[in-house]
Amino acid sequence: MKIIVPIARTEDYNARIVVNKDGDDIERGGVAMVINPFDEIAVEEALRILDGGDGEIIVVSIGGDEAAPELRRALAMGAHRAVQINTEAKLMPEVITPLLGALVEREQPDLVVMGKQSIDGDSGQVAQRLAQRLNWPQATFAYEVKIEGKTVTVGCEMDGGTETVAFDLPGVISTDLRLNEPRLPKLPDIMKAKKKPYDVISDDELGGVAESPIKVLSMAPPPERQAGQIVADVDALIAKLRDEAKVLA
Amino acid sequence: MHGIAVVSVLGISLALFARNCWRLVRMIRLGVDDFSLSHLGGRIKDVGYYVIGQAKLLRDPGAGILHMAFFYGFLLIQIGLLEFVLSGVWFDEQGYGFSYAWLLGTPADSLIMKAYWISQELAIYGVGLACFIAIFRRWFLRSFLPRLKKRSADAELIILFIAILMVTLGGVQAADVVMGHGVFSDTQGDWLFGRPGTRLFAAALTVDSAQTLYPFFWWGHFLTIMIFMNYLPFSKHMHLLGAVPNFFLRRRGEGLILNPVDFETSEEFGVGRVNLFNASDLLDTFACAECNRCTVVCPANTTGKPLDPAKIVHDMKDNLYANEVNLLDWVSQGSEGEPNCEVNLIGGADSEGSIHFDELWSCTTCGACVQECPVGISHVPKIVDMRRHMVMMEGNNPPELDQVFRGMETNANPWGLGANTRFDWADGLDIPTVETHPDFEYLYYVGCAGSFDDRAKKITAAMIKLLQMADINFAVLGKGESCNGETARRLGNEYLFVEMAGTLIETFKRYRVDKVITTCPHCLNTFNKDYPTVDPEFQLEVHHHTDFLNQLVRSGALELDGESGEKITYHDSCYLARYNGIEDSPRDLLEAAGADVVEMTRNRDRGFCCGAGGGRMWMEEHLGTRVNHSRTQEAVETGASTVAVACPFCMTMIGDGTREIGVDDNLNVKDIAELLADRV
Repeated sequence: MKIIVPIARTEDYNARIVVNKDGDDIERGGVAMVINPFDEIAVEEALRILDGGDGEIIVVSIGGDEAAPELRRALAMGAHRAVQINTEAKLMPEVITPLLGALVEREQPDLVVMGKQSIDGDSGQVAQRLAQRLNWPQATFAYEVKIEGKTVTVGCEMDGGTETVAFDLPGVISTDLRLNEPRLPKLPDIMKAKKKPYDVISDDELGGVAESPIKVLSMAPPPERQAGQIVADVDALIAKLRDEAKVLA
Repeated sequence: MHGIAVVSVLGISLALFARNCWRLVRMIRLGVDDFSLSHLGGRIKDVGYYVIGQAKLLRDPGAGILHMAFFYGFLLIQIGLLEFVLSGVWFDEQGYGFSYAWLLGTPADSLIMKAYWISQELAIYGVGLACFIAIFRRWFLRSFLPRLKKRSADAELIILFIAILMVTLGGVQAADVVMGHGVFSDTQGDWLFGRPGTRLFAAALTVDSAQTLYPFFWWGHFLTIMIFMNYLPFSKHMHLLGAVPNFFLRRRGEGLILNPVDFETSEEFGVGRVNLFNASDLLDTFACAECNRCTVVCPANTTGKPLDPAKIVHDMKDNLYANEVNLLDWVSQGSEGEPNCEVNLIGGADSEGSIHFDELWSCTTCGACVQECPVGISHVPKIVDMRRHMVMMEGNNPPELDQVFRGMETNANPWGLGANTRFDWADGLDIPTVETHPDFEYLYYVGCAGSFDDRAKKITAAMIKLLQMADINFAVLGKGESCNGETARRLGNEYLFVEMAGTLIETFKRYRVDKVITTCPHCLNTFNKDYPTVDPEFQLEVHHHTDFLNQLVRSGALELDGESGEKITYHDSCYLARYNGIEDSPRDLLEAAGADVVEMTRNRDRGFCCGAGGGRMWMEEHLGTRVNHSRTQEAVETGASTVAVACPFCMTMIGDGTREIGVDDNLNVKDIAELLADRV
């Protein structure tokens, strides 16, 4: 089994995100970067699918050399090979999908496992777009993955419930939060990761990219939460809910 | 004929003894050779102070004095041992055995001989009395003495051996007197130079009975020595041979410095197999006298957790015995590959092993065990070595620690809060940073707790107020500060520690930091004791805030408005009192602030851990009762209205303790800096 796991490099979810002075991007200085948490779950799931058996897990990241620590970490977790795709283009789903698609065509994996979204842009589109482009089946928001022979059965999170789907390989799975708990790499694996194959290729080698037609016009922080109010009794609460919050008729 | 028999028995016994000792030496040498004779003077001093001076033993005065009687008695009797053995080989014309008097003259003529006689009298009857007390203590006072809770057949047998030795030796000498051994003949007038014990014993014998009993006494004594000597290597009495080399060959640093890890050439990190321990750590196991001094002071053990420091040492030894043959084979075949160990060193929920996962993770690294150990065993570095194996080689640690390691890796603090929020505590304040005020003299290293923990931020605020009032030329690192890695190190993640230490040392060098003030004993200890293992060249002058503030108060830079008269008790942090010897400054400051300082039962270097050390701050405490409740209760019993602390972790633990046992209305928990800031 050959599995490709695309990983995004994102801001750490514990970092405090501040919009910059121009209001068109976030302040990047001092913000810790990590593997997108959903993608880390995808790496872990790929490792569990392979379970030490024959095959290869290829982790891939798009951007530049700054992605190296995250790719190395995925290698330390147990992935076999890393591919770093260098591009100058701004990373939007429209840019990422053709590059990943070209890589998949080149590598011919059995499966692509990736996070359901990256926690920076939160667009949540790449897995679906990639499946569409490859004309592969897809199972999104996975909380459970089982593979028997060529058949993949995936439990998927839905609004207010779950859905179980099955498809035959090859296909695309996008991972949700409760699928697994990613491992911390062990020290010998961190050491070994330094020697694992690490390919750097340019976007041109994958057919080049066009700039995304979508432009970010402005960014703004969410409104600050208002302080709560303590009301005297139930009647006062009902009055407020009806007259001020207008949630009761 | 007699002589030949004596020499043969002696020869066989010594040969057996040598063989058994050689076996132990070979086992010890299975460990990683770390023996060194550097600091020779210090090593000799250690042996003098701790062995000859019995320094640690006297921390428990009752047992200590008893042990001194045995110990000095034993040493004195060794002087007589040669005389005794020769008296079975070498006889005069009347058939009496050898006496030093043959060489030195009779006691009547020779002062040396007289002194020798009195020393033997003191030793025989002193040790005899000590045996009597020891038996009484072990059999009748057991229920009052926590250390004797577990009955030890080994210990009782040893006392029996010693008692037999003293009775028979006393008998030999008394019989000699009664039989009229030549050397005694001219001492009749000055009856035996103050040997009341021998005199009494002799009075019980007639010439006939003395003649009959003499061979029984003599051979009884001789054979008991030979048997005892060969029992020694298999018993706790082995400490008699282990203690001296253990003090002499131990790693420097009073047993509290963790072992360094070689990431460059080694491929196995930490200790997951008994031969990966340092040889000095294996030597420790043969020095243990199973006195349980470590057990009864261990905060984990006394709150019902599975950890017992003495058991760790004992289990290491058992594991070494269990794998001895395989390991020796492996070494003789050139130490290729991994040896096959029949018994695992570390076990857990789903594997058998000599030492259980829960034992190792219960340790707060408070160092009380090391502090009390009379034979210089370093328990804590061994526990951390085994944690290292679990964390770095197996990723097998309590699951809640994964988040801690991630937090330190990603955001340079164990809370895992955004690294870019580290300096938020200074919002709205005018705090000099190394960027805005590069000509600072002291760096105030705020630390992770002081930056991220809401309660500890108040300590930071108090400290800033005091530094500014005293006109100290200081700066902080601000957003550029990062964790020094202490928690990672104590939790066994040495690799992470080395990375974090490297980063912080780079930062210190970039801003030319050479003097640091910290409000956290863990940071203090790491800078002082851990950083030299990462970068031996890097020099840093580190002050704990209590020491620093004490200097300011004494020099008059800080004036306190005294006479509060408040009853305050002070909780000693392990990493302050035990690890760094800072005990007086906090108390001086409290007194300077006019407080009425009352002590808890366990104080200063005998202080009881709050439960947060060794990374336990970040772990669930689901075994036994809570360490912090025990300590908080002790503070309540002093009748104080405030517990003063000098460590943000202690602050958390004692603070939680007061809330959890419902005494937070009557008992405040305050850092010394806060108490001072209120009184300037």
